[in-house]
Amino acid sequence: MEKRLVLVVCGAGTLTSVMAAQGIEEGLKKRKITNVKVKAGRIDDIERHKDDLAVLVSTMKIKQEYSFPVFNAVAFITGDEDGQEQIISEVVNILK
Amino acid sequence: MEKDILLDEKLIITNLRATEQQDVLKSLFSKLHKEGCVRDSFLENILKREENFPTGLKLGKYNIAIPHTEPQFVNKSALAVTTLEKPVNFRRMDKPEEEVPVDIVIMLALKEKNDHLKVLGKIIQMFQSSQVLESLKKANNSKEIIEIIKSNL
Repeated sequence: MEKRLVLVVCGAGTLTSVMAAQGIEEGLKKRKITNVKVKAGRIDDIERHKDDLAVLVSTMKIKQEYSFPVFNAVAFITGDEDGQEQIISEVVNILK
Repeated sequence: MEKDILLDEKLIITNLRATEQQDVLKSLFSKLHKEGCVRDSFLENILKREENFPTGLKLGKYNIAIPHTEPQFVNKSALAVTTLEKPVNFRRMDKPEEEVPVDIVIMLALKEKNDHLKVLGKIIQMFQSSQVLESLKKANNSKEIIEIIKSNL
């Protein structure tokens, strides 16, 4: 089955991942991409989801290398709108 | 402000004189702890979290840090804010190998995961505005800070 999960992570999984996930979900909706699940979580959740992940998005630096693409989404926390658009475009390209 | 996140003059510090990040975190913790918002264990956890997952955000003219931790150390959701007399270095959230001189620190005590999403979004948005940061930086007392925050929510 095609992988349709976008996991958005941060350290505590309570604040920045949730904010970024919200932004990405809205961005995908605007581009009419709806058959995707965007989930916020913490860094420890990656391992558990690694077989379903299409893209990993993180507000922190991810040191480990993975088989799926990884993007940094701190733009959603700093309010950098160009940066936000860029992340959404990159995520869309992968999901297409 | 939604009434389920406490925002009170008692949780605000203006022009804190500090050189070390730990002292800033301890001062904000003391405020939250005194008001019963967080448990004793909150401090140790937030210091550890800042070490492993730093929260400094490079925004431009003024930079901020948003230390926060997991809900189990929190009794009541609240926001504690301090402006710093002189910038204190925090490590960057997106590039932890780099430091950023921080002017304002917003410590978030969050009781529930995924809770208060709307108000949190507004808070984060507010602190992204250099105008808001500038007026916070210039505020002379806790009352002014609370007024600025409330009028921008």
